[in-house]
Amino acid sequence: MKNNFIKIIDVSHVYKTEETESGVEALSGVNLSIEKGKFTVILGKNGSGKSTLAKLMNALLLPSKGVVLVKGVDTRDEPSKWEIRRVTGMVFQNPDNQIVGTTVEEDVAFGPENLGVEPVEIRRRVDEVLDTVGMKEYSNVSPHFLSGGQKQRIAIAGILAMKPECIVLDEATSMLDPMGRKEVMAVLKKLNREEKITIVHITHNMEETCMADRVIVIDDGKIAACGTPSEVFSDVKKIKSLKLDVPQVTELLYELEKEGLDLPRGVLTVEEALKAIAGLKRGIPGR
Amino acid sequence: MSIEVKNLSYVYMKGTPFERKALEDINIKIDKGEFVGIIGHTGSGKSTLVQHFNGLLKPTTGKVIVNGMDTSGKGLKELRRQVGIVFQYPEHQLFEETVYKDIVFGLKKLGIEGGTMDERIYSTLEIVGLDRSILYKSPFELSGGQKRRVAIAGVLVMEPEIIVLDEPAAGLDPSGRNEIFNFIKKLYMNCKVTVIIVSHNMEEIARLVNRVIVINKGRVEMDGPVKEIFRNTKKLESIGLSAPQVTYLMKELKKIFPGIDDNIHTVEEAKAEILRLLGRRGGDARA
Repeated sequence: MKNNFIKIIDVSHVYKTEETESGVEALSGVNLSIEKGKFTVILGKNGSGKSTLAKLMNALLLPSKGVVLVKGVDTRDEPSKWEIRRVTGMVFQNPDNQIVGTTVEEDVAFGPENLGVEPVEIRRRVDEVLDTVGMKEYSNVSPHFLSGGQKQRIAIAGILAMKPECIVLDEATSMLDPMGRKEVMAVLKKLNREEKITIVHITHNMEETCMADRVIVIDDGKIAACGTPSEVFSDVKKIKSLKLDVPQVTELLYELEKEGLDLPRGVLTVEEALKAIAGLKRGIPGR
Repeated sequence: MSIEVKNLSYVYMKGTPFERKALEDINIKIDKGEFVGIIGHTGSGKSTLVQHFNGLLKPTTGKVIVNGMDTSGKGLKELRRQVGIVFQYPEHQLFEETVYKDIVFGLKKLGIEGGTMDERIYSTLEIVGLDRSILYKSPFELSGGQKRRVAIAGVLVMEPEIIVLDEPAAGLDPSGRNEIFNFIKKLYMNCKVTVIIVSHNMEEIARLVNRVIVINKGRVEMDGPVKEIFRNTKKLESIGLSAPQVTYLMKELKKIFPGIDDNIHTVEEAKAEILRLLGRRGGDARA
């Protein structure tokens, strides 16, 4: 299928440890494809295997069993490794662990410099991507003066400067405050909608999940649920059994449904909940 | 009176080009047995404020009096026994070979040894929900949520009268977060302590505390009971914060059904109020 940017075929991943000879199996028999241009969210509790899955997507880890294809190229193909990492950039959890430059623009230039891009072109790209993430006025600032949200936007800019087609974010918003989360999510949305960049976003935050085209829930190394946000969250009981949260309004409507009220499932936003409850009130005869 | 902050101002790196006023003319009184939430966006000065409570930072001007002790004065050892601060990402401070050694570190410094020491450790483990078998493991083989709880146990074991937790659930998954908030609630209910919690999670703040202090640009912007603070969604938004999601739903519902109470911040309250609106008190059969 041409549309599949990343294809994960029957993949298992085992971490070797000193104590156990067989190792710890983080993923077992996962089949998954990430469609080009889509915004995919991966959910799962700690230790579910979601970070392992992310690292398999740009050859940071290689599968113990099965195949991972990025743009049709097997990640085990050593010579293709650098090209795979260029097209699929990664942003990690801790903003302080991934900044290398002494100024913002130096940090953003680090990637394209290593790719051997011409200085004039680097200059052009750095200016362009800093503008895209809304950090142009900070180009000469030292990164340690920035907030967490700003640092993550710099990390994203650093990836953009390498002209990727996909960005994988491994809990990149979990250390940020609500404002920082909003900034980063706004940038991701823009990149996805306007620049058609494929986004794979790993998060615990339910509000961030709602804007995805597709949600994949990982539990115990396997895919536990998959679908649109509204489909996945329609089964509140299952989501809770997987130790995940649902948005407050989703939980509220689920609780009301348990009381025997006729309400739609998979409601995620205040607007949808309002419509459902208002309709219910009007629908009751004699009122 | 537990904590009295009088005309407190604090300036970072005074006399350097990076001089920055972090707190300005703060006046707060916190009584014994209160459960207080401190909210404010990053850089507002919340962490700077709480670090004054055990004398880690000294006021540039003004005074902080804790249980009758001036934090600018001498006798900090007694002050720090009475005020336990759990910093952000406290697991970064784990350093011993075993969980046991890490937890007793502070107790030994206080000169508490032998049977009393072990009793305290066991009761603390129970509070944070960890099994005794964990004591002889290395802190570094534990999961993120367990490490966090071990680090918090190291503070609680000193049996402080005032416990300050700075973002205790940051970066954890929903189940890890719930575990932390549940034992903090239990601790507050059972141990007659004063608890001060700094958090970005408005849903949790609404569920837990009695009183909210909102810090904005180094000043106290709002201070009052939970209901009073979250009622004012416009003001919270103007300083980069927000109310819980159900509050917004209830506000929208009020536009359609003027009779509804919109000063609601938890799913349980919202459920009861909507059932009341529909004339279904207590979830009886449908009208």
